[in-house]
Amino acid sequence: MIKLKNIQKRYNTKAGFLYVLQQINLDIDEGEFVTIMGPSAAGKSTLLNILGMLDHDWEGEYYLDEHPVHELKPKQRMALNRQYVGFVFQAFNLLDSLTVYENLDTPLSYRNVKASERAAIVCDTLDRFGIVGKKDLYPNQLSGGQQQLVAIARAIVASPKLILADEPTGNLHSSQGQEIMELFKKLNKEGTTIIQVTHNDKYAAYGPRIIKLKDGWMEGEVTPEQLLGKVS
Amino acid sequence: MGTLLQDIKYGYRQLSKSPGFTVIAILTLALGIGANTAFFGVLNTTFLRPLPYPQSGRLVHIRERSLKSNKVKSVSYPDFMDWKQMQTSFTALTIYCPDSTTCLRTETGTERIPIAQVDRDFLKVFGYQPVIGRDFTAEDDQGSAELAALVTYSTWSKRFNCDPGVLGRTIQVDEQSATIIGILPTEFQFFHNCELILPLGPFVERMYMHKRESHGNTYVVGRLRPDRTISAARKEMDSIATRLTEQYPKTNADIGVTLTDLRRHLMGNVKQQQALLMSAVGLVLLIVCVNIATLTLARSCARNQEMAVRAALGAGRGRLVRQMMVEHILLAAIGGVFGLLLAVGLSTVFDSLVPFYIRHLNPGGVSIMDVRVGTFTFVVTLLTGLGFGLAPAWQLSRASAHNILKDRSATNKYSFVGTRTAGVLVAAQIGLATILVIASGLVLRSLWSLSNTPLGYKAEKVLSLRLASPRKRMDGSFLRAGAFYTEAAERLAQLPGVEAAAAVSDMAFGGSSTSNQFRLLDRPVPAPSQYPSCRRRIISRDYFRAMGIPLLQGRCFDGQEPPPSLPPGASTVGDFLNALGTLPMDTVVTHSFAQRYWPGENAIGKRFMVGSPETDLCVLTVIGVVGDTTQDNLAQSDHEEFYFSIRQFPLYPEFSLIIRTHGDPATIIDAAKTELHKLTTTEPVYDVHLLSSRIASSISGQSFQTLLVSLFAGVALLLASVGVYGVLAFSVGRRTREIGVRIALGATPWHTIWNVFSRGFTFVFPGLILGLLVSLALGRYIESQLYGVTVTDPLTYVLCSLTLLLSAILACWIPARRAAKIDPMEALRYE
Repeated sequence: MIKLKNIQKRYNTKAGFLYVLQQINLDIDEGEFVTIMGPSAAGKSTLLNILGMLDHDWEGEYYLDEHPVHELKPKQRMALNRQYVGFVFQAFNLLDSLTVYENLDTPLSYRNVKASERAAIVCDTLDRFGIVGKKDLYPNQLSGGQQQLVAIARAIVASPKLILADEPTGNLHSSQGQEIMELFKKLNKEGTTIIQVTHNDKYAAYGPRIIKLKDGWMEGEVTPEQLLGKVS
Repeated sequence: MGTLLQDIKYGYRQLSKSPGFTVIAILTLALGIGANTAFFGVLNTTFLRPLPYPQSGRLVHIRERSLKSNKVKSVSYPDFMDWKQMQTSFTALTIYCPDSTTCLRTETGTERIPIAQVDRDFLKVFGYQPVIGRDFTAEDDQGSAELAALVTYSTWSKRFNCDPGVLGRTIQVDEQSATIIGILPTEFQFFHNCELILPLGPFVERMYMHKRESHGNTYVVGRLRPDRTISAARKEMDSIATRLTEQYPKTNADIGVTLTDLRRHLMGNVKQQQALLMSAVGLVLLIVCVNIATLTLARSCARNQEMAVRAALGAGRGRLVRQMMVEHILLAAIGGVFGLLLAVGLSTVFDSLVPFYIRHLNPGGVSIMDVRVGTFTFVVTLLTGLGFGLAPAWQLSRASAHNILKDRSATNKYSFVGTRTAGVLVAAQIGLATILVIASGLVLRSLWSLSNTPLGYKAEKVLSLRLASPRKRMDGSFLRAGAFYTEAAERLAQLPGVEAAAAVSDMAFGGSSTSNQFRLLDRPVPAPSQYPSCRRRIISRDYFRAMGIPLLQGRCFDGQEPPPSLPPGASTVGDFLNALGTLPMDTVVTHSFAQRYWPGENAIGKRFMVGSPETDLCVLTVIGVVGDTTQDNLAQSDHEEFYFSIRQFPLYPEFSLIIRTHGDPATIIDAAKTELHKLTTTEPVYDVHLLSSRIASSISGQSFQTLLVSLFAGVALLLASVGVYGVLAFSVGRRTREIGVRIALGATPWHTIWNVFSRGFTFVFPGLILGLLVSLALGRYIESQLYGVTVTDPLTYVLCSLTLLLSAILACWIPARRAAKIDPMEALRYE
């Protein structure tokens, strides 16, 4: 589904080029659950931005479902983004002035889905996530875990093939984090490709493939067993 | 449509979340939109609303003018009669004499009422018929029948209770019987407050209008033929004027014709004044837009995160811009509704800005409930919403989605302050406010100059009033009428508290002025087109003392001037003028008159002949020179004038009386009326006013205009100051950590204050300089509204600049003080 070839991102400074990502080569198949790990400033979030086509200033080749993203204009990339990608943020980033229902409705309205269809999809999603009773509440009326739940629901409401999650459990305590990871696992089982960024080894182990980044380079790949074995 | 409704719903919700901002924005918008709507109502009434006559666009006002000086004159009656014969451009022409008065005998006594005199085609030209009765006929106009009268609808209602039986009733006007022949329709409006309309024909000789050189307050209106334009009519009338010049070279050598669309004539010379006010009120709206754009920009940057999330969820830039614009237009729409309500209130205040003659044709006043005004409000509201919403919407739509995955200052709610946009907006506000403040300064100084124009006399403690003429009951005798007024003045002078009293033909600031042509007897006879002309007044003995006009040389009239000797029964103007021929007549002239015509010489004893090129009237010998005075309008530039003694030249329809008192002149009004009532029970006293009130009224229009411009300038200054304050307050908020660090490193409070001030003045100074430059460039457009001050008056520019700088300093002071009080420990923990 995803092919990255020699992806790099750099800033031009007075002292010369500052590389954020260098020579990233990566293939991800549809339906995979991939975790990206690494220390601070490794380039994890930058890589996620590029994968989600939110960042347009990079070099290399990027194929998403055979679409050559590197050859597309930013507007075309955003169209592809709407078609394929759902984002989950660490800080939830729910729209505070909208209710839970309206937060789920927003991505659909940006995809020109008819009002009647949107209503059906949103209700379906609310039901699926067990948050029907909270549909008229505002984000500030929900707990952190509930907010992240809504954020994930919002990410999948338009049925994206790919979910990108940046530290989805970063602002949650462990039991809530676990719930979220279980949900991701379930979504992945249903066929959604998931790429997450996390610092947490336990949560990283939810996916069979862990990519390690350091200083903008791909250090390598490890398995959950290797990761957890190392820790312990 | 569904997503648009969504955007409206979300927009409303956003506005409700910030009630403080929303209320301030709505009030500010209401002020800007309301003032503009109300003033557009004035423009609509003045320029756009049709006059209340059928096909009013075909009506043309015609006057004569001096070809030499281009000064307009009223129309000579004989010239009008020739025009009627010779013209082909009009379906009908009519002549009228407005603003006359007559004495109407009522059950309770005699009342002075306003009337007009017209020829038989008057109603035909204006497209009306009496609702009951008939119009004037040729016989009525020639005076061969008994005097006929048309009654206005309001008079019929007020005096006759709408009784249809009033037709054929006889009324007494000026001791003459007149028969009511018709009632005018209620929708007919032309003469202000007119109660009766009489035919002009019977009065032509009596008012000396039969002489071609007499231009006695008569004007002409014509209705253009359907196939003719005003330009074509103008050409034809010019050619007729040329033919009359050839036929009557002595009277018509200098006479041309002026044709004006009737609306334009009624409007008068208000274009510049209304352009100034519309510009001022438009600038206020512009400042409102910029001010709200600044506040919206600051507020919107706190929504950077939201916009970035929306972009990450798939919203394109167009969709984000649309969402923001819907919110701003919604805000503008709410402001517009309140603005409309404000406009309804303001319309009654602005009503006096409509030119007088147009205003009285629209008894309902400035109407806001008008399609044009409604459309204007809608368009202005929409443009306002677009105006203040576009910059923030565009700025926000550029919110980078990928930045939300980083904890960057792009999401900092104060980040806008670092942008040039905020600085440009604030500088723009300062610049616009500068333009308004300078305009206000100039008109204020102009008004001050006007109000302080040296009058040449003492206007305080002077009462002025009119006393109807008794000439009718005195067999038309001018001399007896003159003696009547002289006696009236003498009686008033005897009242306790009165210092002096006098009679005068055209009283100061009374709205009338009479001129005569003349020639100097010690110079060659000038060509007809070169005859000089100046103002003249007819006065009784104590006039100069009553007015406080200083005598500079020679002596004043002593009341012993020999009157003309008239044969018994002689009562016409012609009889009187014939008797003047050999009479030695005295005159007093003003200083300017003496300087102009006998520069460096002693004017005492000099002689001049009053009269037109065709007719010599009388020789005057100068017996005294008095100081120059300003008695007609405060802006008058020429002060050449001469005075007749009422004993020798009482040739005027009706005299006024001037009373100087020791104390408050208002206290002797009743005593004066009582005394005059002892003299006559048939001639009413009316139009009683203090002279100082008349002078103040003469500039009331200008005062109001100045008040409005100053008000707008004050609002602009306030908004601009709020803009500066807002930006700096946000800046201090954003820089709290930085300021804390500076203080921790040793910055004193004054360092911090200076830091904030210098940042604030980086947009104040450019705005001020730009405003000054634009004011200098545009100043010429208000030049005609100024008196006694130039458009580049340095004092005004300096004072206004200082005012702006002071406001900016005050606006910077609060945030600067707040910055100086930052606790560095708190600031370093600040996130």
